[in-house]
Amino acid sequence: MAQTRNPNKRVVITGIGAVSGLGHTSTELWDGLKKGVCGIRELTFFDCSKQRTKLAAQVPDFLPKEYFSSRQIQRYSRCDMLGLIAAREALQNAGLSESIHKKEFNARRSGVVLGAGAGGSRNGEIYYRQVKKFGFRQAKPSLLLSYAPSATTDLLASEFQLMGFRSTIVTACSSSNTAMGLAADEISSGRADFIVTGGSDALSELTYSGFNALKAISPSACRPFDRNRDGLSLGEAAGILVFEEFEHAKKRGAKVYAEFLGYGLSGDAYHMTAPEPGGSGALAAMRNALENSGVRADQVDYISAHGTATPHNDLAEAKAICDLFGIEGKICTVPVSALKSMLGHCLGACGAIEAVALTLTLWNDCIPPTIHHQETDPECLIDCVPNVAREKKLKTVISNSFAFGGNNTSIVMQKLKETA
Amino acid sequence: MNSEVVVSGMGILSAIGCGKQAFMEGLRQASCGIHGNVALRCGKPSPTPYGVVADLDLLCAKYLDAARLRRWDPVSRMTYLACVLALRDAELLDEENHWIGVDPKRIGLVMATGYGGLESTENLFRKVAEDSPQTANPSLFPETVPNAATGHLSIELGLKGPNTTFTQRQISTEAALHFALNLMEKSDLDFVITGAIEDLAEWGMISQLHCGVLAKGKAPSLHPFDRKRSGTLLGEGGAIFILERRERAAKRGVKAYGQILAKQIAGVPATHGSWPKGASAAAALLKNVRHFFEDHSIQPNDLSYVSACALGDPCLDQLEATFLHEAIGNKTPISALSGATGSFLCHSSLRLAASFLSLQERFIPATVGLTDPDGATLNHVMHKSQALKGNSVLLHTLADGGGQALTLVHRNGEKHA
Repeated sequence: MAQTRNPNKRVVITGIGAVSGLGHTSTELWDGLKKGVCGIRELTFFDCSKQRTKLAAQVPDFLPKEYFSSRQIQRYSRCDMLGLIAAREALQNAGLSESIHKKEFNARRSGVVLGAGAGGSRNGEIYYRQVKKFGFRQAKPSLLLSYAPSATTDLLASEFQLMGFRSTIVTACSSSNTAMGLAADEISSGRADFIVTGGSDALSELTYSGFNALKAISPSACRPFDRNRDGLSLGEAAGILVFEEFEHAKKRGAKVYAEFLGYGLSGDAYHMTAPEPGGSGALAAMRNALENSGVRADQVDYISAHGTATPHNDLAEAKAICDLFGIEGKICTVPVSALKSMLGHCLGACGAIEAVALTLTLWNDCIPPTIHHQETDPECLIDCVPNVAREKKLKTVISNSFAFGGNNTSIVMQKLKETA
Repeated sequence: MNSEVVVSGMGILSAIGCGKQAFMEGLRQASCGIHGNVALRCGKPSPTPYGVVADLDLLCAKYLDAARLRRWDPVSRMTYLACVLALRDAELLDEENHWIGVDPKRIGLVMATGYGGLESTENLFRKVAEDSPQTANPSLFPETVPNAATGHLSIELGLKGPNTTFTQRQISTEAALHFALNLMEKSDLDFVITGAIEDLAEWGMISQLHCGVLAKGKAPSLHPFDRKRSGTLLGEGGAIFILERRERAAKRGVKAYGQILAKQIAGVPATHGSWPKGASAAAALLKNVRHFFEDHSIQPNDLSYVSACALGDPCLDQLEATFLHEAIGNKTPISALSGATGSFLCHSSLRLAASFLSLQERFIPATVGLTDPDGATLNHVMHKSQALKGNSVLLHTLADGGGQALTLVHRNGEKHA
């Protein structure tokens, strides 16, 4: 069910920050994506010797002490740390760091809305093992401070003194797309000047074991939309975007990357882990997002797919894309790429890191590829931009995130004709 | 704020009663649902008292078949039960769970949770840590995600509208309510189901005990705002609400409980994962309340009472009492529900339900466990419920991590059937 938009308050993206399997900044993210670099490698963050698979898109060379004090390392979860690093970059990038430092902004009209997944699960796992092994006296209750999925939202709000609206969405893989939609609502309704949004999620034993128990993880790096795809690769990331009211951005002369046009939600009401095979939920989310954005399907230049590389997801999503965008000749000609082939599936942060990538895709007029692609699935009638990035003038783009429980969210962005 | 959106149904699960009638009687009589030596689902005896949902097993057996009882996490079972109670209360679902003149595709679902399926998380991780990941039960994993309950609900009831789940510590309910009202305002959905449910799971209880937030002593008890308070006690349950436009409710012949006239979610600085502390926090919280009053032209005298979030914590209750005194003075009655039901992250959903019911039934629930108020002078409602004047309740909620929510609940319409 699409929502109406307020055309008077436009929402633009003025800052981006990213930590991912491709590096610690949005620049490293874009360099990797453009070159088709695979961030999926041997998982070393925890012992996976007893796991069925051994790969994940783990943030490389991550040494917390390079970014945080020992007290912070004690209190923050890995998810908090990734989120905070990306937020620092995004606010710096937006030119807001100094205003925040000098408290020269209206704190009450700023906020934080994030999507979350496993959050501080890893801390809970360590705590559990400490209690079992040493008893309560030796276990550290401080590990539990950041267990809650909303801990990163609160942390960013306190760290940057963003004292207006805050919220955390926890719909697994669609969390951060919905978070960005809600952040945009707060701005377009006139309640906020800017919102720090996106999401952060870190690898944990629980999620890795859970997906393995479902036999959903590929033993090799995932191959979205490939005929021989055999499951997903997990990843971790933080993608943070500064959403700002256009006039506010204009007034302070901010660089505007793109405009966030709208979003659409839907529910599959079909199965806890599998998508509705005909792609009706995916189709409804995309259709609602376009309607909410005031955009027609034939105006869309590129689709950033959910593209998990599980047999069912990719098929259902490809069907929905063909139904909505049409088939010319033998396939749907709107380019579609699955960034999870490089970044892994970052669960609560997948929409966010893909939104940062989408922003850079629009900015650079360059579509990142779907890598590891060998043979297109004949049932997926799409152009999945195989293996090599493609230069293309872009104006309007859409990004999909679909989750367990049949929670679907699509978002739409556009290049801004009028820059701030 | 869209003033045309009303609450037309409620489903309530609490330690003082399930369903609106039992809950309301519990409120009116100032019952305490927190008991020691209660049977916990984890099967282990506990000397610590808890506010366990009354008759949950009986209700589950009535509404859910054996397969669902076995497969679903307790939080999903409770969410389903509360949702069915709410839909029946709103006359949208009949006794056999058939829709009454409703297209379920035009219903949104916006829920909140504290931790989601914590019991399933415990069970799955126990297997992973103590045995091997390869022996983990695959059906447990989907139950661990916080949106599992809305997933089950949407599948069971065929809800294909927007479907989402929020969490924000103690203000989770308000976060969901905010989005639900946004949806009603901006979309053409017919109904939005919203609310929050949480269950008591073993490791949740253990960790709270270890963090030192629970009431102390040989016979720990919960005393909000009281001089002898020493910490909180945990409870479970929550409430689910049906939102619809007033015209539709009137057309269906359903009376509204009331509406949310104003809402605000804001924050104050807090150390990571901790309660806001000290004079600067009190000043910032007070500033937020004053902004809320200004933005919505609210005078303290307009309020029938304030539903406070006090949970028996020595510092938090003092902080809340201090700035409430500054914000509303000592005339407006103050009531806190945690002494009756126990506290939990989704507790404000119960306080919201209590606000609607108390406005309708014209009484202010007493703060159970409060006999000797501490600190700032406030007009506490003690010992027994008292008569209510006016039509508005202010729900105030503070969250660890620094979140603060204010919700103005207003009575309208005639008495609900």
